[in-house]
Parts: sequence; C-alpha cells; structure tokens
Amino acid sequence: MGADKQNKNDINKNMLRIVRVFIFLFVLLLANLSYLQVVKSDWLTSNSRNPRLLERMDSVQRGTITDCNGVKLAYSEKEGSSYKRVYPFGAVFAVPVGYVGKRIGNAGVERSENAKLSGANTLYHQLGPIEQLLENQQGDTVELTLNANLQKAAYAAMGNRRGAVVVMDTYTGAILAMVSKPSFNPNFINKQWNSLIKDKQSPLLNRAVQGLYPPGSTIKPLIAAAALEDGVITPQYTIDCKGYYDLGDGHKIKEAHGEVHGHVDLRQGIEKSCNVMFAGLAIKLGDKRLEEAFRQFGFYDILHTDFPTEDPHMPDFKKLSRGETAQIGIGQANLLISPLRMVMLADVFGNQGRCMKPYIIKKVMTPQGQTIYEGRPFLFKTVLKPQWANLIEGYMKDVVLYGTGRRAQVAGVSIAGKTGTAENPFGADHAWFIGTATFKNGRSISFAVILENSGYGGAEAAPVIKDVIKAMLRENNNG
Amino acid sequence: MYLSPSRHLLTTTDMIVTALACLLFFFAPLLLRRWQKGGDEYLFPLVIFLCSVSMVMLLRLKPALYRAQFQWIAIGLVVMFLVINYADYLLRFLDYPYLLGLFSLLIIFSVLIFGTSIGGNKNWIVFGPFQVQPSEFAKLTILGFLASYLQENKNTLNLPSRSWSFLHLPPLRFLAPLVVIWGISLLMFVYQRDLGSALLFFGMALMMTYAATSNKTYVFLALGFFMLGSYISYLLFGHVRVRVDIWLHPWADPMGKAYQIVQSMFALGYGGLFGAGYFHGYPNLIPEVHTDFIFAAIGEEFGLFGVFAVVSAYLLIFFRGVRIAMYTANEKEKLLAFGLTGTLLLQAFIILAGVTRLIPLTGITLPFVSYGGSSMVSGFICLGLLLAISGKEKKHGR
Repeated sequence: MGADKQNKNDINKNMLRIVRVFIFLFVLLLANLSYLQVVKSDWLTSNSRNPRLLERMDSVQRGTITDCNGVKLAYSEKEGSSYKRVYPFGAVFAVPVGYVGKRIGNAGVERSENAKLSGANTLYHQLGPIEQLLENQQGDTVELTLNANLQKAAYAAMGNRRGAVVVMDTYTGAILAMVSKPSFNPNFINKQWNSLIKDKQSPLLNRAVQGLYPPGSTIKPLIAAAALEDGVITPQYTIDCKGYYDLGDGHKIKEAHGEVHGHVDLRQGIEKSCNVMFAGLAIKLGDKRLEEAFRQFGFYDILHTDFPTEDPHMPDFKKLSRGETAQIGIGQANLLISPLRMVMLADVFGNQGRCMKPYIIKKVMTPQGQTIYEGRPFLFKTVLKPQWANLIEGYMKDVVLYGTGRRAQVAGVSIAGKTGTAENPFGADHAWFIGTATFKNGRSISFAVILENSGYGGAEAAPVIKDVIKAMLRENNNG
Repeated sequence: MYLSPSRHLLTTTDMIVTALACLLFFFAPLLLRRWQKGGDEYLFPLVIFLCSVSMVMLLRLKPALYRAQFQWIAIGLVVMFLVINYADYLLRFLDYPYLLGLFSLLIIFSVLIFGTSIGGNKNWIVFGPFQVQPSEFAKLTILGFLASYLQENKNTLNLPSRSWSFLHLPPLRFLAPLVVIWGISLLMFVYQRDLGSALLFFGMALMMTYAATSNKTYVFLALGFFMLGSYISYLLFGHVRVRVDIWLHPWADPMGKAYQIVQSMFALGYGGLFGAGYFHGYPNLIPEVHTDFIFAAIGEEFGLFGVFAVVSAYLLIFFRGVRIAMYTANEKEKLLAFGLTGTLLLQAFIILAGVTRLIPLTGITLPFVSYGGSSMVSGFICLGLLLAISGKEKKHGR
C-alpha cells in the first residue's frame, strides 16, 4: 500500500514536470507571437509581397503623386467598383515614380511610400475597431522634388539611347530629374511584365541610381583636388604631353583621338582631359592616398535616403598593379559608380566643397491637406575646403567655355562640367558629362548624364544637358 | 462605414444556424449539469468558447461550411453526452491493453491500405459521402493503450537489464510495444506525408511513457530516435526537405512554395495588437485558412489580444485536465486523463507553432476551432472522457 502511494505521487510529480515543459513551450509561442504582431508588424504590413495593402486599395482611393509644382504624376480614378492607377506621363516618370503591381510588387515611390499612399495609416492601423472609425477613404498625397518640365526635357534629349540623367539642386540635394532609358509604360506594367523581365535591355533597372559604370575622365577633378590638397602638386604644375604615358613595362596609356597636348598646366589638363597628366598624378599620389581620396569624397560612405541606391564598387587598392593605379587616374580599372554618385561628386565642386544628400520626397499631405512629412536638405559630407572646390570649379568652367564640353554652352548660364568617355569591355564607349550650372537668379543645378555605348562624352552627353539647362531657363523665366 | 468587398451578407440559413448555435451553446452546459453530477465545471464552457470562435471565424472565412461546422459541433455534443453516459463501459477497455493496441493498429493499417489523398495528406478514408480522418480516432485508442499498457508494466519497464553509462534499458520484449508506436508514427511520416499526426503520436507516446515510468532513459532514447529519424528523412524524402527549407528560408520563395506560411505571417503582422477587426482583414489570401490556418485569421482580425484569448483557453483546459488527472486515484484513468488533455494541448501547440514559424509547418487541425468533422467529434469524445473521469472521482469521493 505504501509503495502504491509512492507510485501515485510519482506519476503526479512526473505530470507536473511535463506541465513545466508545456509552460516553457507556450511562453516561447506567445513571445514569438508578440514579436510577429508587435515588433515586426509594420515591416510585415508594408512588405511589398504582402497583398493586403493592395487589396485595400480597391476600397480606398490611393493617394496622388505630384511633381514639385503639383503636376500629377500618378493618380487613381474610379473604374467600376474599384480604382485604376493612371500615370499621365507614361514612360517618362516610370523609373522614379514606379508602379503598383498586383502580383509583382511595387516599385519606385509607389513602393517606398506605399503605406502612406495606400491610406493604410499605420498610426491607427493597430487600434482594431477604433481604426474603422478613423479610416481614410483616400490615401495621402506625396509631392516629389522632381520637376516635370526638366524630366520631360531630359527624357526627350536622350532620344533612343540607353543611359541615365540625374539633375539635383546643387544647394539642397533635391532631385529635379531622374531619367533612365530604356523605360517602360507603368500603365501597362501588369500586362507587359513577362516580356519586361526577359528584355535584355533591362528596362526595369533604374540606371540613374542602380546602374554602375566606370566614370572615365569625369573622375579627373577628384584626382586633381586630391593632389592639390595633399601638396603633391600646386596649381602651377605642368607636364609635357607626348601623347602617351609610359608605364615602364612596355605598356602605354594613350590620349584619345591620338592627340598630343604638348606643354600643359593643371587648368589645361582638365580642360583638354589630358590622360597623360592624370595617369601620372595617380602614380604620384600612390595607391594609399588614392584610396583615401575616394574615402574623403564619400565613395565608401553608405547613402541612406528616401529611395534605393547602389553603392559604388571600389577596386582593392592594396592589390593594384602600376598600370591599374594609372588607370584609376583616368577613371578605369574596376572602378564602378552610379550616375547619382557622379552628381554628388559634381555637387562638391559647385557647392563650396560640400556634398548634399540627394532626396526625392518633398512632402506628404493627408487628404485634409495637413503636411505629415517634409523632406529637408541634409549635408551628406563636407569634402573639400572651399578654396580647392572653387579652383577646380573654375577649371571645369573652362572645360565648357573652351574645352571638351563646349557643346553644353547656353548663353547667360555659368556652366562647369567635365566630360568623360568610359571604356567598356563589352562594346562601344560610354559617354559621360557631369557638372553644375548656375543661373542668374542664384539657383544652381548639379547634373550627370551617361549614354551607354554612344561614344565621346563631349559630343554626345553634353548636348543632352544643354537641353535640360534650356528647360530650366524657361522654368526660371516662368516662375 | 466601409464595406469590405469580400463581406458576406447573411443568408436566412446563416441566421437560423446562428440562432440555433446561441441556444445550443446556452443550454448545453445546463443540460450537462443535469446529466452528470460532480464533473468538472470549467472544461465544458471553455470548449464552448472555442467552438464559438470557430463558428464566428467560419462564417467569415467559408460561409458555405458554416452550417456544416455547426452540425459537426452538434453531433460532437451528442457523442460527448453518450460518452459520459456509457463511460463505465468504455473505461473497462483499459483492462485490455492489447485489444486497444490491436484496434489502433487496425485503424492505422486500414488507412495505409484504403487511404485516399486529400490535400497532400494520404490520411483519409472515404465512406460514401463521408470522409473520415481515422488518425483522429486512432489517437484516442492509442492513448487508451498507452495508459493501460504503461500502468501495467511500469515496474518492469523500470527494471534495468542492461546499462550503458546513464541509460538503463529494460528487456526488449517490454520495450517492443512502445517501439511499435514510434514505428507507426514514422510510417505515417514517410508513407502518408502526415507529418503533423506523426509528430503528435510521437510526442504523445513520449509524454505518457515519462509520466508512467519517470525513467529519463526513454526521453533520451526517444529524442535520439527522433533526431536520427528526422535527419534521415530530411536526406531521403523530398517532401520533408521542402518543409524544412520553407521553414528556414521562407523569403527565398515567398510567392511559391512558402506562400502559405509567408501569408500567415503577413496576416498576423497586419493584425498587430488589436487586429484589423472582424471582416476587415484579408485572411482569405491564405490557402486552407479555414482548417489548418484558422489561427492566422484570428490573429489578423482580432490581433494579439484575440490570439492570447484563444491560447489561454487551451492552457486553461489543459490545467483543468491535469487537475482531474492529479485527483484521480485509478492509475490507468489518471494516465488516460493526462494523455487526453496533454495531447489536446500538444496538438494545439504543433499547429500554432507551425503557423507562426516557430517549428516547421505540419498540417494538423486546431482542436475545436478548425473546420472538420473527424477532428470535432474526436475532440468531443476526448472531452467526454475527461468529464467522465472527473465525475467518477467526485462520485466516489477522494
């Protein structure tokens, strides 16, 4: 009888031990549930794969996206019982504005501002029944910094060539135009999706911020600034250009078009884009100082802003051969940078040595007109002392006045620029043009153009900017 | 007020069913008190709560099955009253462990032979218009077998015949029936692709063996067996590998293989703390939401508070069940009561942890909430037995 009692208690004890295991398991379960429903809730809700906000769009009118002057770039209109998204500019704004995809997810601003545009205000979202009282019939309006006239001008000027144009306000970092070609028509995205993703020309890629290209000669102002600031050279530095730079191992870096520049100083070196001078400067600086120069210009800093970007691809400076070091001086050798980052480089010289952080969202307003978010200028990095920035800017003005960038000239606008012709192992050279343009009213724009496989920067890319500047002039006169 | 496009307008049938459900849920507990004196007073109302949640969710998720679910609940209630009434006869089976064991094997093998595949799980038997999931009933007979066999052999099972360091094993012939149960769960695992039931049967056997023998050797043995088995099946069977890969990397293929679990997490995240509100979520984006994934729908529309309420109900049922087991003198009935209540909670855990990605997802129903006749009736048999055991104890006094 005693033993029996012992056993009974044993079973009870064992059961209690198992109860403890269950309690442990359920604590885990409830902790995980709380994590999913509280901590990760916003992330899960705004995830572009989550169709819930899209489903909700059928009953809530999605917010409008406008340019900086209130011109509608995307809006929703009633079609039967649900809403249809309309993009009045078609392909022109496709890349920055993006699209709303039913099964394919969103892109561009439609994606990054989805929670606000869809009217699913996460502020009230988790209040359950209360949310239903406060629910919007309409999503928030998102106003972008883009300017429809500039965007149209840049889009048209590129013609049928592949590439990208980025135009930014020099002093604020507000993006005024962002074009990538070839583009697509977001009005038909759901129907054309399958052919678009297979298209070898990658129309869905935003070349302006995610395309990586060798910068070619447009990197030369950076090399010059680094050499000056480092004391490796003075502005009086001169060389004799015989048409090639001898690397000493039987290889030579040659000038474009077989030119021979003769006796050139730094000003003329930039104006004429002298490869011999900048290959030599890169060697003079050495790998370590070159890497520091790129670091100083922010190419190693990660850019966090209101649209997705691609970081530059930098070579491993510790493993460069002498020839590769010289190639860095003329923007080749495994150095890959997006057009957006090249605008930021141009911004340094046009903005007294300071680089502004690019941004694209000007403000977000509720349907009642209350502003709930406002984009503000933000300094990305102070790169150079104003004296060096202004000196280089002066040289870049000569590029447009007398040098390789003459085709960008517009009467009454002070333009500083640098052309580039990037060698491309897969085909014809890419044409580059970067710089700044200052208008009489005090405004200034920084710009970068790349045209894939279309030849010389001065001949091809500079005229595109000329059209953009002319559009900006018209804007200034009107406004 | 905004109307969701998926909003379902109540039909007359729905309203009649709702009225009947209200009446049934109100009067059934009163009837129980007349039917059975001295049984546990908390278990039944808790189950009624879960059944109401089930009805509320089905009206929203699959209105076509609303009436059917109510019928299953009603049938379940009748079965429960019958079980309570004839409990003395039913519990007498505990004296014949091998009969229960044989019966379990028969059910399992009938599925292996006559089983039909529904929804990827080959664990259904079709009788004319009825589809029965025999594993739901095998669960009960296996529990009966385990309770009875383990109680009779617990002393022998604790006599070590050989020892390896800290592991003390009894002679193999006493171990055999347990190995058979584990073998069955492995068989279901491999052949029927019914990972949920396999896991449940395995956990059930482990839990009961430990409770009866307090021998840790079995726990180590079983866990070793489990790990080895899982690893080998991972290597050998594609469907197991797919489940595990989905669990580990759901974002690798969120629109394809992992669609269901990813949508389940989206639903829970969308619900947040207070939920999107009844009819204001989009739970129908989840395939099979009315059976295995009904919990995600509760999380979406009623939020963390809603799911805490449901989980609390299961925990309270479990604690009441354990209390019944603790106060039961008859060891076989004690073990059976514990097995029944533990299995209910374990089943809830397996599916809840699955839909929240705590463990790999295995298809199994949420007791008393998911749509399904077999699951509902088996749940009510389980409840009936627990109530009967609790009533018996009160009647005889402690």
